[in-house]
Amino acid sequence: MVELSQRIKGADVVVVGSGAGGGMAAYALTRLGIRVLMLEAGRDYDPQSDTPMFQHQEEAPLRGAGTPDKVFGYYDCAQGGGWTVPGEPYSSGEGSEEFLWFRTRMLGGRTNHWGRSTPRFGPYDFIPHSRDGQGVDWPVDYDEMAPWFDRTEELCGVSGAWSGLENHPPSSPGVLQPWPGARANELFVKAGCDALGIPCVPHPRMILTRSKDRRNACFYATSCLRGCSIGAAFQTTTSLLPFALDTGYLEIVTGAHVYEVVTGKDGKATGVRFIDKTTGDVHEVRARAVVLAASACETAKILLQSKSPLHPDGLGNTTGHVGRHLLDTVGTNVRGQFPALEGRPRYNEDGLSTGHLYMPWWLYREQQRGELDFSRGYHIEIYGDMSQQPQLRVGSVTDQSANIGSALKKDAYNHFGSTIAFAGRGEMIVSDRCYMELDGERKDRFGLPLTTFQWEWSDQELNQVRHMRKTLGQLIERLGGRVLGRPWDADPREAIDKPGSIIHEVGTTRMGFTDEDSATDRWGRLWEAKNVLVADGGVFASNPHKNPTLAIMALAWRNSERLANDLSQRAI
Amino acid sequence: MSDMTPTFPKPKGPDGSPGEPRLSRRQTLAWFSAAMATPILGSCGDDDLLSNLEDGDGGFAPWLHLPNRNPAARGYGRYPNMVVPSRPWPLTMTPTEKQRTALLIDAIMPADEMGPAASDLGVAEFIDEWISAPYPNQRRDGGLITSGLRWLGDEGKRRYGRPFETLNASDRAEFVSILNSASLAPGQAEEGLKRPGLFFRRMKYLTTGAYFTTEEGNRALGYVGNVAIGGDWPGPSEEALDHLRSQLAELGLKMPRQPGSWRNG
Repeated sequence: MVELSQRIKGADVVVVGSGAGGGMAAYALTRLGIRVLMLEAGRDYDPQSDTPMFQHQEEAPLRGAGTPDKVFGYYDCAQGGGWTVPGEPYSSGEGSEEFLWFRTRMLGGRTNHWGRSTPRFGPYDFIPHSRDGQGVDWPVDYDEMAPWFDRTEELCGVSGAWSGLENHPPSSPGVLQPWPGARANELFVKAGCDALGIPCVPHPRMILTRSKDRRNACFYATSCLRGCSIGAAFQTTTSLLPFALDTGYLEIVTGAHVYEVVTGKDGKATGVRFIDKTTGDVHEVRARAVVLAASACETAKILLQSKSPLHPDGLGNTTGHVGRHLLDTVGTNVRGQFPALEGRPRYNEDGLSTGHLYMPWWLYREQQRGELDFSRGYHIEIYGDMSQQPQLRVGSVTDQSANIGSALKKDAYNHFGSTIAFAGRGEMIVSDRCYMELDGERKDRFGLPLTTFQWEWSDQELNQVRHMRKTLGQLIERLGGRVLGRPWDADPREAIDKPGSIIHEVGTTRMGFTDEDSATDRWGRLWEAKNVLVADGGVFASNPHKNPTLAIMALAWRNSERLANDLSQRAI
Repeated sequence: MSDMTPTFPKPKGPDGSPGEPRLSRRQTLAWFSAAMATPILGSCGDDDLLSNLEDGDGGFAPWLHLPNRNPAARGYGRYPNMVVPSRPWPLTMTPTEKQRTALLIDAIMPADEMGPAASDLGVAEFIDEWISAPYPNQRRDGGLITSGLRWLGDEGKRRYGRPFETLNASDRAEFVSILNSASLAPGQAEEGLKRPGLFFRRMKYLTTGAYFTTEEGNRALGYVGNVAIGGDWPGPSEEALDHLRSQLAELGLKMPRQPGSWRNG
């Protein structure tokens, strides 16, 4: 066993985090011959041996129901964390909405657990301020990003089919893998959407339907949220990390909790300090450049903790943008029950385990004409109840059935497959009232300051939620169904999901045009230390309703190649 | 600005005439009316109700608040072995509680042509595991369920002169039926039956959920997934599509085409 102190020596670049951004940065840099040391705060994880592919709910404690240890269920692949991490608490500030911060502590980070939903940002998504006067534009545009989206989709593997819709640009020919087709209950929803003029189209997913390199095509069984030992559902642990390891230029150290970027007299980074969780020892690593991809809020926390005489408020924070501009996705859920689907003929409906169709934003023109009371779009995801092993919540039929005995069993049979959960997912607008900062007093188990979140929804988000729910109320009614649980016309303040809970937090080190408006430049480099690259969602200038992972990776690839170029030019 | 009403075309009937959404005549389930179901939906509502109930037995056996057990038990932690699952906490039910549980869950999910009885599918052990678990939701249920199992004995003695587990079949069926009625809207149940109603409501949910998450329960639901498929996903069966077509016709909706013509942009 090589000593840790030896393993961490001699890297050109240290990459903090092994999820979407860190995985892509390591891939992009090592293939150009750059030696990378990756530091991951969590444990090692081997998807081949550690993934419960077909394990039955019956075998799991509590039938697999979620607990504070595993919030999305026993078999869920998000390990080591959840809404809380033992010993690393956080809080919400006075008068703030309660912010939920989802963290994992495992190799591959949150790519081991996500919906693999990858709608591509379109031209409008990079110029939100130009279009509606709110927030800021990105310092990059769609045309510049399009080839990086293509490359990322091709490398990671996306199945889908172009919708032809406004601001939903196509991938280049040959990039997408075949889309598997719709389920019966999704065609049912589509029929209602067709009648109401709502598009209902293939949902692009980072799930292979054709085998690729060492990864197998999806075999249409077991939930993607358990992880995927055959590599069909994208995680860095079955693709980018092994690819990077194959170059011989990557060294991965797990259990390494980075807490500070170290800077030299010139203010540039010279490396990082981390705590070795197995021994509690502190180590310092030296490198020519640092890539931070610890997730938006962890990265901002590390920067705010990196105080020095030159950077008394934290590295990169001289103009005060680190931790600010925090964004999540606006979320609300409406569940429908449909008599037309009761007792429907059974077939294997597992498919990709997640929705094959979705409803992307369709009212751009109405918004431009000022006909809506919110400025940004949303999409609706469709989740039937027959696409994975029955869960304990099948028991919720008892909220509807007054029966017991054989009659209740028949009700359960008829009910199964007749409910659909619709998830509204919208774009919020950046606000001075949503940010994170370090707690001045309380410390975590490492003696590091806690993170405090501040959050306030604006009418923009609440009006958007009202519109989502009204749309879904109309759709459910048109399909002859009824709403289960919270009514569609509930107060949006009650119905909006808690901030952070959609797990799309971005923006805390946003890219911009000058150091006056942002923490990082158009290449994701800190304005005040150009050898520090932020490769996670922290660099987002806005948070389109399209899920962030694809854009995180496309930006990380583009910006890592720029970093490689800087290193070879000795520009930094 | 409009009143933010999305502007959709009016629904059309199959012949293109204006139509209205309507409930299918083939609706098979006798669901609660919305008015009845609304105040009791969801466990949050139940929690609020439970914590706001006054003590008072209304002539029924008194409800004794028993604490949950296993105060020192530990959970499976943040890195449980998912491939070979195990449960680290001990079970805590007494033999009498187990007996009462088995009888109650078999009244909820009996043996019939759809499958075996709940107690033959390990549901009683599941309830024991649930109420013994060291997590907040389970601890809360643990107090409710152990108190409820105790009450079954006391109320059996009061009403029939013997505890629940020794009642004859018809008395037990009557007893369970009273409990089920109280469980449909525990807030409106008679004084003294509100907590028992909440207890039975929770048992009904857990029993039904646990029953159908077994392999035999999956079969009873007609779930046929969780098997690997080689090649492309076959999609819905012809039978499933025929059924959909007929249901959409009843709703005055057109069968959509698979959006496959857009494959690969």
